[in-house]
Amino acid sequence: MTIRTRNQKQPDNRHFVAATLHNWCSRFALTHLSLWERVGDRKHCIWAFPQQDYIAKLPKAADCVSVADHFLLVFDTEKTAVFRDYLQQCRTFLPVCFEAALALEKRSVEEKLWLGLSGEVLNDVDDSFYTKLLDTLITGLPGAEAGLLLLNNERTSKLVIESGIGFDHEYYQRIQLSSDESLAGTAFSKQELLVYNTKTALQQAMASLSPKNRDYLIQAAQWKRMPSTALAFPIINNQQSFGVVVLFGFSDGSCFSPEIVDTLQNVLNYISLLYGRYKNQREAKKTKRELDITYRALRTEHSQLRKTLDLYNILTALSRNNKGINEIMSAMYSTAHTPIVYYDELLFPIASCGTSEQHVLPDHFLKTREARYSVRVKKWQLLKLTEDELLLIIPVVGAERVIGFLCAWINKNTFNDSDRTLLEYSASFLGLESMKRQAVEQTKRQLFGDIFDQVLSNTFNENMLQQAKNLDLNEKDLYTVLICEYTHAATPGIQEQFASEACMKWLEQALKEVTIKGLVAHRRGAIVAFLSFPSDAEKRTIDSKLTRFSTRINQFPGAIKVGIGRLEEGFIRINQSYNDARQCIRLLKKKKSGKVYRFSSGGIDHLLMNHDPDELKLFVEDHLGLLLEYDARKHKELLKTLLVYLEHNRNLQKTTEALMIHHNTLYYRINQIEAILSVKLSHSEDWMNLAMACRIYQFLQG
Amino acid sequence: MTYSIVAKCKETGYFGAAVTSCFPGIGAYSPTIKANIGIIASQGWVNPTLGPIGIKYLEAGKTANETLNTLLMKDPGRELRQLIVMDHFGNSAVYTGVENDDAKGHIIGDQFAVQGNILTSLDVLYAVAETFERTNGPIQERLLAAMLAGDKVGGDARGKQAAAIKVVAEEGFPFVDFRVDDSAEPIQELNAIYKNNKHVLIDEYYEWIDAVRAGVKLQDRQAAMKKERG
Repeated sequence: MTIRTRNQKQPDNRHFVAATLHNWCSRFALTHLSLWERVGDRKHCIWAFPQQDYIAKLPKAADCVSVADHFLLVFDTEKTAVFRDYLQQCRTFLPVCFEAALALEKRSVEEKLWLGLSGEVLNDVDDSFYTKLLDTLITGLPGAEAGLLLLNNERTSKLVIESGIGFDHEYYQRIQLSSDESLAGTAFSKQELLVYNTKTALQQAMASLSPKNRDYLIQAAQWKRMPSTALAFPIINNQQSFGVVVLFGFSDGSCFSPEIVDTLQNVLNYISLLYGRYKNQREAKKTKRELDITYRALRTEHSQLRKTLDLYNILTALSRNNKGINEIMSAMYSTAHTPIVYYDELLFPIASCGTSEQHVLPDHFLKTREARYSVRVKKWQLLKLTEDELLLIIPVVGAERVIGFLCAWINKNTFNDSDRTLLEYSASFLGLESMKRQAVEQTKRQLFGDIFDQVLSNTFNENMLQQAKNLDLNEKDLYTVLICEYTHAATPGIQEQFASEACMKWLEQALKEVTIKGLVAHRRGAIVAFLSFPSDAEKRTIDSKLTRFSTRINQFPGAIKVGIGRLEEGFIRINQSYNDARQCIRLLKKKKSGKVYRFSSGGIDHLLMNHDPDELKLFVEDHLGLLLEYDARKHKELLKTLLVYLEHNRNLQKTTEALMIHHNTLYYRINQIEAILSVKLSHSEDWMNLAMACRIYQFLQG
Repeated sequence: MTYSIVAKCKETGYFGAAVTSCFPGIGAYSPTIKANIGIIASQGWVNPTLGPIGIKYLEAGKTANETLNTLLMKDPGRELRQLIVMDHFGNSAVYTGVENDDAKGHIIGDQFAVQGNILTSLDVLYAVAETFERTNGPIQERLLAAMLAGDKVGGDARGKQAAAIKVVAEEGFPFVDFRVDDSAEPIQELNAIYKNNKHVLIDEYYEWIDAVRAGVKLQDRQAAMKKERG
């Protein structure tokens, strides 16, 4: 049960003459004294002794004295005559005294009511407004013990109880009144203050209350019965009723005096204003909330639109000014503020922004479901890297296929999801730019390949020379040819059709790293390249660059064989360099190890390569034949000993360490070799012949 | 496979959506609507979890565009779906995944949006959108008229099976929420269900809410009203 009750400490200003009346009680030994006021044909108690409170009915067997027209004194004493005489003496004074008391009370009620209505209620904008308003009215108006505040539900045209004091919420919430039902409905529809001070009048007014609502009202009332007096007034705004306040008195004899009604009449407009103000404040609060939401939404949308337009303008300007991929990437980074890398389809990084060492693609990236799916549907995907970090994969689409990936490392907690659309949009610019670049590269390669073929077949002409010039091939520069043979396994993780492309790109990148100018193409079943150096470049510098380049090639992640020919002046004379490079490849194949072979560092092998193999075999047979035969027959390793001895330039200690034998054993073996071959190793000519035979033997063995 | 329309009533502020598909019980999966907040309508290979998640974002004050982008980021199957997000303001953001079958597409209008896939043609979407804009009356009747227009033009290329309409006025109190889970003519049946039953609660929606809140029977209220009317 939830019943709010009125403030019981209602002060009785009306009894400001209580002291006088008390004085009479003791002075005239009154056993009962009560003061009554006539309101119409009804009398109600103002003060009583000994109860010190109102009493409902005039007591029987008591003397009565009328004081003017409005007041009646009822008393009981053995000194009736004395007291009557006294009252007779005061007859002119008493009405004035009582009237003054009532006026004072009225003023006091008004003051209290205005104070209450202009205090806490005025400042209240929350849901407790209605309860506070009701409480102020009940507390401030004598005779009011309970009350209901009903508001009109515009959707159902029903009066619904918004707040109640002295009533149980569980029951009163079920009450809904039509606009002319009962006294509340009547006050609402007639827009009048209605007072019912007699039970009969009240019963008549409440006759229209539906049985259900009557039951709910009685069940809700703290007194569990119908009230004995009631007052209802509408809440009006712009001549339209919005609700009703009904105040009830349940105690016997309670009534709303004319002064109270008069006082209330004076504040009705103010209460309506209060209601209007409250509603306006509520509306303003709601509107402010709506505006806040709208402002935030507009701000967000504006911010995103501005970013989109800014990026659009930047990208358009870049495209118009023929700027490249790096500028597009910078624009993207300054918009999305997240590390980004643009990879080609072979996952060679083309450009990056905001990245560090940790921003590398995960192993087997192209085999991940996300990467494969993004290639298939040509749409972005997210690959989870850690709990918080995701890799946004945006395929960069060329004419018909995916030609690269724009990868962004994003933090899922901080990344603005809408920026994904901007990156996706920018990726299409990257696609266009890449296609443009690819077209230029392919044309360049094609031209270079044609020039290469013409130079090798000695069929070049003026037109070719002009094209060479366009490709920045200076006739006076120094050139060397590179040949690269690769297998599909050369570039792990890359499809076969891309292996050649991957090798070429890798070589181009390596050339860039060591600052060698080069043109790479695919010709005659292999990758070929012109490496060029300025005509005035120092030989030492060129050699140093080629050495660094060779070192870099050895780091290639796969099996390739690269031959580099000798330097020639002018690209039209690179035939010899081409043959050198081919020879280097043959030597590499013979050696079965190593990835790169420079002709200039090849030594005697090149001479041997050009010599008749049969003659070389005969030379070996002449100088090592007996030793080979001895080893084969006796299952010995004298030749191996000799080779290691040679390799270590006749250093006994290094030879014994390499062979893991005692030095006496080595002496013994050397003596045996000298005996079998009939030579003296200390003899320079014998030593030279044996060294040459051993080198040829190794060359022939490959 | 499906076409659907979502809308916000400019007069009442109610959010509503209607959907049809050759998929049984489509109304169980989509749309998700919250009063005064917005709508999430997912179709294609429906991801029903997008509804409640999307509504949370909208409740947090995100706009339709923001919510759509965030939902797409969180949904690995985004290319299999179509998704409409309508926010508090009635603004829509729509995404049609590339893996939806043709004919597919979407239209964004003033306080409404339409999406569809495996349609006989995109004319279905135009018919739905135009009819909704042209029709007057309560939002639920505009939605039904639009769906009927789409059905007339051709609707789903594979056929018809289910349809649903949902309009939300007060949170927790379904306003219009009818479904046809398996029928040869689901939209027409849905329309018939609405017409035959709207008097039960829809016409006295707020009386019903008041009765529920007061803890009394609506019939008592109705009886009292009849008595009043004499």
